[in-house]
Amino acid sequence: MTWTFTPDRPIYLQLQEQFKLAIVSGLFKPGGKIPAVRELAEDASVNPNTVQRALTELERDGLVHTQRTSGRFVTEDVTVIEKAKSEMAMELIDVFLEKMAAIGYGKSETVKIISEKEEVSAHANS
Amino acid sequence: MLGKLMKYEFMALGRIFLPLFAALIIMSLVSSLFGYLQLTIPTGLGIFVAVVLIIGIAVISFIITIQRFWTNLLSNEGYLTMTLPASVDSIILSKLFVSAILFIVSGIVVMGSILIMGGAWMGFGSILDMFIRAFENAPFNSYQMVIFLLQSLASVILGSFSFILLMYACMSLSMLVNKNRWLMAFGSYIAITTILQVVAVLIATIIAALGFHDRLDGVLNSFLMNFSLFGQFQFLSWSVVGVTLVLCVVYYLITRHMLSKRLNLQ
Amino acid sequence: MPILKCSSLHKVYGHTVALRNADLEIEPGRIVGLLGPNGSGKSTLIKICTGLLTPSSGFVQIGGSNPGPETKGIVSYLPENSYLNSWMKVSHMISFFKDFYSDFNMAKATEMLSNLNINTNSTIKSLSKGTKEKVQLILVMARDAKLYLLDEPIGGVDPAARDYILNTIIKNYNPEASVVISTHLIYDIEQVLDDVIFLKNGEVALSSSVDDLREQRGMSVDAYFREVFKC
Repeated sequence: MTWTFTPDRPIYLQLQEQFKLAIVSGLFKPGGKIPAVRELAEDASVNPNTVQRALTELERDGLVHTQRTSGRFVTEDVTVIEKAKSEMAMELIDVFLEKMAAIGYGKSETVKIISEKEEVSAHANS
Repeated sequence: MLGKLMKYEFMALGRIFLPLFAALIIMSLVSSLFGYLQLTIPTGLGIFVAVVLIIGIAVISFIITIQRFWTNLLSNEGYLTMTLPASVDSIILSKLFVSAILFIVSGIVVMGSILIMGGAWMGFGSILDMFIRAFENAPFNSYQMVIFLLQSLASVILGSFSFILLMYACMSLSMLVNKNRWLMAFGSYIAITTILQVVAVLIATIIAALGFHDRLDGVLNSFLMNFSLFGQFQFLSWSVVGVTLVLCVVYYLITRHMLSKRLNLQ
Repeated sequence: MPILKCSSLHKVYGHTVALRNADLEIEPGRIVGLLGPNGSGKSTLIKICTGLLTPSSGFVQIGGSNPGPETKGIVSYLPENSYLNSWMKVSHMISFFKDFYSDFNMAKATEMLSNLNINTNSTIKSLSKGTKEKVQLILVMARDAKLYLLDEPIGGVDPAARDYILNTIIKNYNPEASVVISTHLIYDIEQVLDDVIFLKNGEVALSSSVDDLREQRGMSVDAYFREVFKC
């Protein structure tokens, strides 16, 4: 897995987001085992304490749980994952709409552009 | 720790001296063989090489004693040696003991090689005779000879300790400066030996001056008259041993202080 | 109990003050960056912790004890320069470390050396500068020490070797041990650090976790460092 970090925000927050993305997109499957902290730290070249902190936050969100002897697993509760997915989607959309507004496109105009774009793609593919 | 440190000292020295010792013994045996076979030129050559080796061993022993201390404690390797979980005492003593053992073993090997060549030259029988006659003609009985031998041994050992420790103290003192340390070490050597000579002259002058004082002279003479020749000799020997011991302790303490409190590696 | 505690550490050389009443505490399980420009006192601080220098005043405690043979047994020190005996073979150096350090992990050392294809039969003298540095790093990290003091470990090293060093530090992470890395190359190691300590002219100018610093300043440690130490 490739990890990218920006230098101006705490890494544990960024790890949290990237883990969430992995879970929501299905890269880490529901009920699937999450690699050990040390392994993830090596893979991402970050401090193990940072990985630990990120995973602890995810546990608080209910996306991940720890089984005492066997390690950390993604939750099997698909509704929780779906909720996180839609929350992430909402955030992305808000950011997108903000940026479109910054160049002058309001919400309805933006929606119009998107559907037009979809029709053109559909035509090109058929 | 002391044992482990000594083990690695022996390793470092062994790789240089074992070949040298082996070469010397072989050369001695070879030239003795040539001598026995009455081949003059090869014998002469063999003896020449042996002498060169003997001088070489003496010089290299001196250089190595200094080099081991300097490189292993005061240069880059010092970063490793001085962070080992060993006390400063064991670090100093390991080097001291191994250097002293080296001196003594070198001495024995050199004497051995001289005996081999001398024996071939004069015949072993005549050498043994020489020793026996020297023994018989000595003005002391066998008990006194044993004491004498022990004292000589103590003097030799303490003497080499003192010499080595003086070198160590001078090198340790070089850490007081940051540049031209070898100059500082040499300077310390000059300073210390000069001080010792001044003190020696002072003491000698005092004793001589006292000697001119009739009453004290009388006291001194009657004190010494209580002892036999052997006794007087003993008095002198033990004084020398005592002084050497004191010097050893002083040099050791200087070295120890510099290495523990004033360590300055670059 | 902190694994390293410095109280009012003061070190003077002639007229220069190398360390000025430095106070710091490091708990076990932390990877700490000791950051500052050349001459800020980083090396001096580390040498005092290893027992190579005695402070002019103040004290250092490692695991609650003053520097001495016992603390040297739990501190693993990597100096900037090479300290290996050049005439020895790599295998001899390994035996040496095993002989003197009861916490030396032979298996770890052998594994790391073979990972880097280093021939243990070569003499130290014959190794390239980069390989020598790696051997030294391996010997230091192969110990299960309580405190690792690394003085400029990534300074003159190529990027791939740098990655290897950082990766080794992460791999060796132990919640009972701490690692102090002194460096002026912050950008490369920032994401490996838990905490940072800034040294400026021998004083502790800042002591913070990396997360807190980024959150509070909204910038990387590297960027903040440049601000603090602007020429």
